[in-house]
Amino acid sequence: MVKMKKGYLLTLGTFMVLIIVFSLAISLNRSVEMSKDRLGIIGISDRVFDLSSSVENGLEDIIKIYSGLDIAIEKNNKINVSITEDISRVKDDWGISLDEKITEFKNFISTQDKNIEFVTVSFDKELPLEIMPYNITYSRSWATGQVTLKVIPKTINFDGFEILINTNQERISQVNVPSLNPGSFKFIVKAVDNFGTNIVKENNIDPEKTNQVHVNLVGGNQVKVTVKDNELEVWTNSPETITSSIKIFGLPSLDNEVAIVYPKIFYNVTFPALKIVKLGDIQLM
Amino acid sequence: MKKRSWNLVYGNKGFAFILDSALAVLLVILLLTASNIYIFKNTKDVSSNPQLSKTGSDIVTLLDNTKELDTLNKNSIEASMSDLIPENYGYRFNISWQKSGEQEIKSLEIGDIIPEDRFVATGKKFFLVTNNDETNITDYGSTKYSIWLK
Repeated sequence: MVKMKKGYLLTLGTFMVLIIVFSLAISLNRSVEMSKDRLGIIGISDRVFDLSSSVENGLEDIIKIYSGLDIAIEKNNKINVSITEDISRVKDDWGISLDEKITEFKNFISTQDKNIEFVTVSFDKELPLEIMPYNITYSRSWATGQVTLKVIPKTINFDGFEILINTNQERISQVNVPSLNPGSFKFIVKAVDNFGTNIVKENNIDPEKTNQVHVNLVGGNQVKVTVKDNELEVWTNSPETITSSIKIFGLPSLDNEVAIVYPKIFYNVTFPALKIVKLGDIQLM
Repeated sequence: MKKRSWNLVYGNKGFAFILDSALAVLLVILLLTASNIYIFKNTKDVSSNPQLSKTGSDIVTLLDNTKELDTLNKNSIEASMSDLIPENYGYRFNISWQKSGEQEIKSLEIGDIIPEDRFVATGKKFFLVTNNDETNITDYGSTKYSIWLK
């Protein structure tokens, strides 16, 4: 009876050990399969990211070369961001070669890769550009015979605006200050032309109220620089191209890197079989 | 006279024991074989595959950043590759490009024949060719790369 019991226990023990070995083998097999799947997903993601970032880099280069936008970021204790460009009151005059180059690049990509789909026709002339992480928006708008640049910060957490207006061949007749409301925010306007005019208007203002500097041109046209409701606006009806340089200075240093982003989705990289879609926006700096 | 084998009351214990043992051993062998198959089915190490893809991507990025791709010259790119790629790696690049303002797409291929018996990492990158002072884009290009361990 004792022998029988021992045999029974031996059989049961062996069976249990075998079941455990078998379970471990299945479990090991499953985890290896899962690791393989994950490695596959990582590989595909890398490939999509590579493809997307190469398209993004190409578009960035085209925009940097042909948009005429010159963006600079100065980093000291505080951050200064300046955006310089030639502005024309005729919308169609702006960015002709930029459109051509973007179209050529898009056409080339479509012959090389069916997974990349462009969702917009071209770069939007009215932008906006977003200065991150400060949530400051830089945009343009055109109306008949006039163009406006706008800088809209979400909060006034910087020291001031410094605007350089170079009217080039348009001679400046006078710079006047029709309205000013004193405060602690710096508002500096420099007006220069190719005839030696160099006038600086520097004031401490309240950016919530209306503050204006007018650069009057010979012949009656104007460049109006306005700070109102915490927003900056540069407006002109000059028939000639003028150069505007807007510096947002004294931004606080934050943990995140400063980036200038064109936030509109320009293209998608899609692998339908794998259900992967990567949306492409463009970071200019 | 010998008894019949199936005349079971308390006899034929040996037969039952052998049958029982054989079944038990068979079960043990089956379970061990199945476990063995499960354990050794996936022993092939694939963890280096993403690394291989990254190596290919890094090499193309390096060629692009050093303006080597801008040469669009087979010998020049091949010479750079021999400096960049370790000896135990095989590669094949298919470079296509189109001149700005033109329709014709040109291409060149460099490297070895792609093997069929091992993992080959592939990828694609687009690049732009600019003039020396980077004020004008002259060509639009793409590089399809394949890379493997020899």
